Amino acid sequence: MTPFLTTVLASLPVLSAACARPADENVLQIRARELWVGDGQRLENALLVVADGRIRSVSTGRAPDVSLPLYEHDGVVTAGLIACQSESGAAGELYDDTRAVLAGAHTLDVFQPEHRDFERARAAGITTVVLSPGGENLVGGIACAVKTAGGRVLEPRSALALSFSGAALGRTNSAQFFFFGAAEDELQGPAEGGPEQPGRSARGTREPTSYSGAVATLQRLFASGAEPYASAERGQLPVTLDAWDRHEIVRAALFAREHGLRGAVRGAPLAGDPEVLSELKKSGLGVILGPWSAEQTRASLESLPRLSEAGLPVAFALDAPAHSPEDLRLFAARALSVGAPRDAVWKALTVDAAAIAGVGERVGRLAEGMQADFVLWSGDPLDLRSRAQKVYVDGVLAWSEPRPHR
Amino acid sequence: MNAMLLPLSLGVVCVLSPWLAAQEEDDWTISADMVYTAAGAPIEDGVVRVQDGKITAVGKGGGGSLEVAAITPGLIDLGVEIDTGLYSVEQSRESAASLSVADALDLFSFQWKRELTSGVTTVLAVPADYDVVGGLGVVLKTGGPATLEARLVRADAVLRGALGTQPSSGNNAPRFGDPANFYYRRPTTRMGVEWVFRKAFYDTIQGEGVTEPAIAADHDVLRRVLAGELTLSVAARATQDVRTAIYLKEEFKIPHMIIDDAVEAWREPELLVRSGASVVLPPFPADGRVDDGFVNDSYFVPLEAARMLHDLKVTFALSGHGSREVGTRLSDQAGLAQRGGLAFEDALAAVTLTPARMVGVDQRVGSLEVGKDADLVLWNGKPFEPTARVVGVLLNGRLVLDPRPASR
Amino acid sequence: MKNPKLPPAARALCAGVLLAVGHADGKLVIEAGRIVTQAGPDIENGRIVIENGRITALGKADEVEKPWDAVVLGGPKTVAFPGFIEAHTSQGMDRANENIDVAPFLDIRDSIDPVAYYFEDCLRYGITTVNVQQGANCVVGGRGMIVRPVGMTVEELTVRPLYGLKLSARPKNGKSRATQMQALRYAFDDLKHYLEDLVEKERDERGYAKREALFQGRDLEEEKAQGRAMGGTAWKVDGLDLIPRGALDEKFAPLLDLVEGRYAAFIHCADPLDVAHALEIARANGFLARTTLVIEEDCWKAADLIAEAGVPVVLEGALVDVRRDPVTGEEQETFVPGVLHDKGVRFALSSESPSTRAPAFQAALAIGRGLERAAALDAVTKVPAEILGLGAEVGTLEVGKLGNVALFNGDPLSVTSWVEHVVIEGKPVYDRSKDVRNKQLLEGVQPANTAPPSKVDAPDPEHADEAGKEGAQDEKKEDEKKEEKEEKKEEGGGKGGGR
Repeated sequence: MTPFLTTVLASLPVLSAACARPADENVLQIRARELWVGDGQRLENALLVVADGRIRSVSTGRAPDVSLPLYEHDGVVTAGLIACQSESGAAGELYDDTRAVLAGAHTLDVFQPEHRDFERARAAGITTVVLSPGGENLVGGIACAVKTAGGRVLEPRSALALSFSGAALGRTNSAQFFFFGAAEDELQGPAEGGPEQPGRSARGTREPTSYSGAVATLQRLFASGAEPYASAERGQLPVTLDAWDRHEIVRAALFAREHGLRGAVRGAPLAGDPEVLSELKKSGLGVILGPWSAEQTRASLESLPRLSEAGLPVAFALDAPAHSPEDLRLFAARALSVGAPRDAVWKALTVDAAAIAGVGERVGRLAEGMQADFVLWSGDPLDLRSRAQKVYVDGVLAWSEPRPHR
Repeated sequence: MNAMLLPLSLGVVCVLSPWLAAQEEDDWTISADMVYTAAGAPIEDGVVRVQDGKITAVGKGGGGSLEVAAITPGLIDLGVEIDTGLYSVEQSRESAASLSVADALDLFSFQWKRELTSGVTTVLAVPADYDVVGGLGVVLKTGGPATLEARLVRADAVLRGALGTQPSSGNNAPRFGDPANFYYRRPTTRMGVEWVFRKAFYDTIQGEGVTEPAIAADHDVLRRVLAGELTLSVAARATQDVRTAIYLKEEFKIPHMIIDDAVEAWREPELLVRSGASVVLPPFPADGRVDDGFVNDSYFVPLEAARMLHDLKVTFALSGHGSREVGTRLSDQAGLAQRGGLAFEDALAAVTLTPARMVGVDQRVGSLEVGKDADLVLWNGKPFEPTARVVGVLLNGRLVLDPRPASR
Repeated sequence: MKNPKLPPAARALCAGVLLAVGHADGKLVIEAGRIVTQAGPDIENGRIVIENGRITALGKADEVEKPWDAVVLGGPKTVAFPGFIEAHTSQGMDRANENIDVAPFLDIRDSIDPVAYYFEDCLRYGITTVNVQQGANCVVGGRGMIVRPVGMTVEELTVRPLYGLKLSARPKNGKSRATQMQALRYAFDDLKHYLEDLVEKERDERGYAKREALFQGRDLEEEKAQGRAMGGTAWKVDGLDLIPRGALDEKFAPLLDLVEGRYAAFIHCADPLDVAHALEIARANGFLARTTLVIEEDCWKAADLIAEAGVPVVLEGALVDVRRDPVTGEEQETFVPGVLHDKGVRFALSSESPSTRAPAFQAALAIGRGLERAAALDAVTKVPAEILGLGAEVGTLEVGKLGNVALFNGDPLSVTSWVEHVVIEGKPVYDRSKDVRNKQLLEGVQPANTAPPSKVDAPDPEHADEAGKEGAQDEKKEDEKKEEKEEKKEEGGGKGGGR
C-alpha cells in the first residue's frame, strides 16, 4: 500500500465521524435575565436559540434543550446596534476634492473588514455599519452596509449619498457645524450676526460653489435619466441627503419630494423644528441625526423625540473613526436626558437604523429568521454604566470582553 | 420675556419667539391719528380694515381694535443684502444668469425677523455680488412660514449684475502652478468686469451653437432681459460704474435697468434722465463716504442725493442694507432723506410704492389700498422721525408685532 | 468745583480767558420761535439777552427788552436750546494714550489740538462744552480738561484745566483682566509705599524731602513748601504733614490728589465685570464720590451695581445693544438708557456713541425707544453739566448762566432740523450757512480751490456704430476717467485731516 492510501484509510473513521456529527452542533442557546426583542417587548428569563447564523427562536419560560450548549447570561441581550453613516476603516477615503459628482464611487471598494475600526465597533456593541461618505461631495457615491465581523457585506447598494450641505460647497470649519445645533449663521462674535464672511472666494478647485449651483447640477443629473439617479427616482435605491442648516434640510426635503426619492436626511440637528418637520413629513424621509457634539444644544437633542412623535424613522450617524463607536450609546443617552422615550431611542439604535439602511428585514430585531447579530450586555444598554460583554455576528462570537488584569 | 427658558413643548424652539408668535386672528380694524396710504393724501383719523390677508377698507373712521398714532404700508427694501454669502452665487463662472437665488436662500436666518420688526415686510433678495452676472433675484416677504412657497411674491424679479471692484476682487491673473483653480481668470479689473458683461450680452445676441446646457440657459435669461421681460439690476457705486451701466443699457438697448447701491449716481444727472434707469440709493453714511471695501478708494453720497433724484424725476428707492444699528435702518433712511430736503410724501414713496413698482409687485404691495396684501406698519408717532418707532407690524393680515403693551 | 490746587495766578488767567471769548462789551440777543430752557416750561416767541458772556435776561419777546446795540440772531421758526455738554470724550488730541501703564502726570493740555476736526464737528451738533480726557488704553491715564470747542490756541479753548483723571478697568492692549486689575491695585500700592518710604526717610532725617527736591532743582515756594496731613477717606499715611507737598514726586502727586478727592475720576468700563472692578478700585482708594463711569453698551447688565454705588455714567456705547443669544440664536435688543433710567442710574449720552454723534439725534432716538422726554433731554444737558461740576454755569438757559446756545431751524428732535447757529458765552461761533463741509455733506458741493467734475459728454447711442465717433468717445471716456481720479484725490486730500 502506498503511504497515500494508508493515510486515506486511516482517516476514514475520522471523516465518517465528522459526517455523522449531528447538524445541531452549531446551535447556540442563550438564556438571559432579560431580552429585548426590538419591537418594545422585553422578555424576562428569555431563551434565544441561534443556528446557522440565524435566529431560530426567541421565547420566554421555555426550558432549554439540555443536549445543546447553553450559555447563561446574567444581563440583557439585545440585537446588535446599527451605526448609520460611518467611515470605519476608510477614513479619508470617501471624498474627492477634484470633482463634486462621484456617481460611480462605491464605498464597498474601501471596505477593509480586518481594520481595527471594526474591532472597536464590535466592542461597542455595533454589529452593522453603513459605510457612507460625508457630505463633502455633491454626489458622494453608493453606500454599503457591512457587518463588523466576518467581512460580510449585508447590502452592497444601501443608498445613494447626495449632499445639500455647505460642506459640498467648500464650507469648512466643522467646529461651527455643531455649535448651537446647526452650522447656521456662525457666530462671528457675540455682537455679530449674519452668514459667515470667510473671505472673498469659495474653494476654487471645484464647482458648484453655491446652493443654487448645487441644485441646478442635481436637477440636471436627475433629468439625464442616467444611473444611479434613475434607480433612485424609481425608488429602488434609497438616498441619504446630507443637510445641516434648516434651510438645507428643507431644500433637501423639497428635492426628494419633487423626484419621489425615499431615504433619509443626514445631520439635521434641528430637524425637530416645526417648520422643518412639516416639510420632512411631506417628503417621507427619515433622519439620521448627528453626529452630535458635546456642545449640542437642547433644541437639537429634542429633535429625536419630535421626529419620533411625528412618525419619522430616526437613526444616529456615527462618523467613526472621527467619533468613537462608544459615542453611539452616548448619543442615545443625551437624547434620553432631554426626555426622549426609551423606545424611540432604542429604535434609533436598531430597528429604524436598519430600515433606513435598507436592511430592516434582516437585522435590527431578535426574531425568528433574522440574522443572528446580538449583544450580551452587563445591564440596560441605554445606561452608560452597562458594557458589552459578548458580541455575536451572524451567530459567531465576534468579540468578548477581555478579562481584567489583576 | 426670558429667552433662556425653553419649555419642552412643540413649537417653542422655532425662530418665532412667543412675543412674536403670529396671532391666529385674521380680522383687524386698526385706527390711527394719521393713515399714510402712499396712494394719495394722508387720512387724518383714519382706519384700515384687513381680512383674510388683504386690505378690505381704508378711509376715515375710528374705533378700531387697535389704535395707534400712524399707519403706513409695509416698507419695501430692494437692497436688503440678506443672503447666504459666498454660497448664494455660483462662482465657478462669472456669468451664471440662469441660476436663481431662490435655491440659495436661508429663510431661517435671524435677519428676517430683524427686518420684519423694523417695519420691512417685502424685500428683493439677490445673489451676492461676487459674480459679474450673479443670477436671478426674487421678491419675498420677510415673515410667515419659512418656506419660499409661503413667502414668495415674485420669482425671477430681476437679473442681478455687478460692476466695479467687487466682482473682480477674488480673481487673479493666471500664474504658473495652479491651473485647477478657476479663480485664475478674467476679470481682475473694472475693464474686465465690463468685458464679461458685454460678452454675455453679445454672445446672447449672436446666439450661435451653444451646446453647454448651463450656458444655453444663461442665454435664455439674457434674452429675456433684452426683450424687456426681465429687469436688470446692476450694482454700480462709483460714478464711472454708473456711467458704464448706462452705456451698457444704451448699447444693448436694455429696456429695464435698476442701478443698485448707486452711491454716486447723483453725479450723472443727465445720463440718468436720458437712460430711464431707476436707482436704489444706499444708506446715507454719517460723513457721506462709502468705502469701496475691495480697493483703497471711497465714494461719496450727499444727504441731498434723494432730493436731487426726485427733482430730476428719476425713479429711485432707498435701502437699508439690513443694518443692525438702530438709527440706520430703512425707516431711518427715510428720515435722513428728509433731512436732505426730500419731502415726507416722497420719502414714504421711496420706501413703499416706488420700490414695489420697480420690481413689478405693486399689484400686491406698496400701498394701503383695498385688495392689496395686508402688510401694515404701525407707529407711535410720525413715521421716520427718530422720536417715533415701529410698534406693530401686520404681514399678510397677521399681527406679527403686537403694539399692545400687555403682550410685550 | 474749582480745583483748589490752582495758584491764584492761574485762576486769574482762567477768568481772563473766560472773558476773552466774549466781546468785552458784547451783547447778543437771540429771538426764537421757541426757547427750550430745560429749567421750566418752554417759552414761545422768546428772547434771550446775553451780555459779557452770561444770560442777563430771558423770557417772552414782548416782555424782555432788547438792547439797541446787540447783535440779533434767530427767527420765528427757530428753536433755542441750551448748548449741549459732552461729558466725556477722547477726541481732539494728538494721541489718546501713552504707552506707559500708569501715567497720572500727563496733562492733556500738551496734546490737545484746537483745530482738530472733532471740535469743528462739535459746533455742528451744538456742543458747547466738552470734557476731554485721555483715552482708555491705559491703566491710569493723565489729567484732562474741560474746553469750549472754539479757538485757535489751547488757552482760548480752556474752560477748566487739570480737570479729571482717567483710569481704565477695561484691559489696556496686551493685558488681561487679571493683569489690568493687578496693575490698578499696584498703582495705588506703589503710591502708598512711596509715601510711607518718604515719611520714614523724613523721620530719620528731618529735611530729607526738601533737600531732595532742591537737589532736583525744584523750588518750593508758598503752598508747595507746606506739608499737609493726608486727606482722603479710604487709607492714610501718617506723617505726611512732614513732607512739603511740592517735594512729592510729580509722578505720584496727581494720584495722591485723586485719593484725597481732589480730582474727578473717569473710569472706562467695557463689560459688566469692569464695572465691578472700577467700583472696587474707587472704593478702596476713597474716590468713589468723585467717580464717573464711562461705559460701553454691555454694561447695562451691571446697572444694579452702578445704582447701588450711586455714581453717574457716561454712555459711550450704542443706545441699543443688539446681541444674539448664543443658545437660541435669536437677536435681542436692549435699550440701554431705558435700563439705566429704570434702575435709577444718572446717565449722560455722549457724542462718542457709535449710534450717532449728534446729541439731539441721540436724545430723539432715546425718546423713540421709550425714554421720557425730560430724561432724554437732561441726559445731554443737565446731567453732563452736573457730572462736570458745571451745573451752575451751563446745562440750562437761565439768567446768570453762561450764554451757550444752540439755535435750531426747527424742533431739535426732528430729523429735518439743523443747528443753524451756535453761541458760546455770547459770541456767535458757528453759522451753518457758512459751513463749507456741511454744504459738501448735504449737496456734494466741491470744496473751494478744487477742480469741479467736468461736464460729461456721454456717447450718443444712436451713432454708436460710427467708427470715428467711437474713437473720439473712447478718448473722452479716458479723459473723464482721469479727471475723475484727480477729483477723487482732491477730495481725499481735503478730507485727510478730518477723521
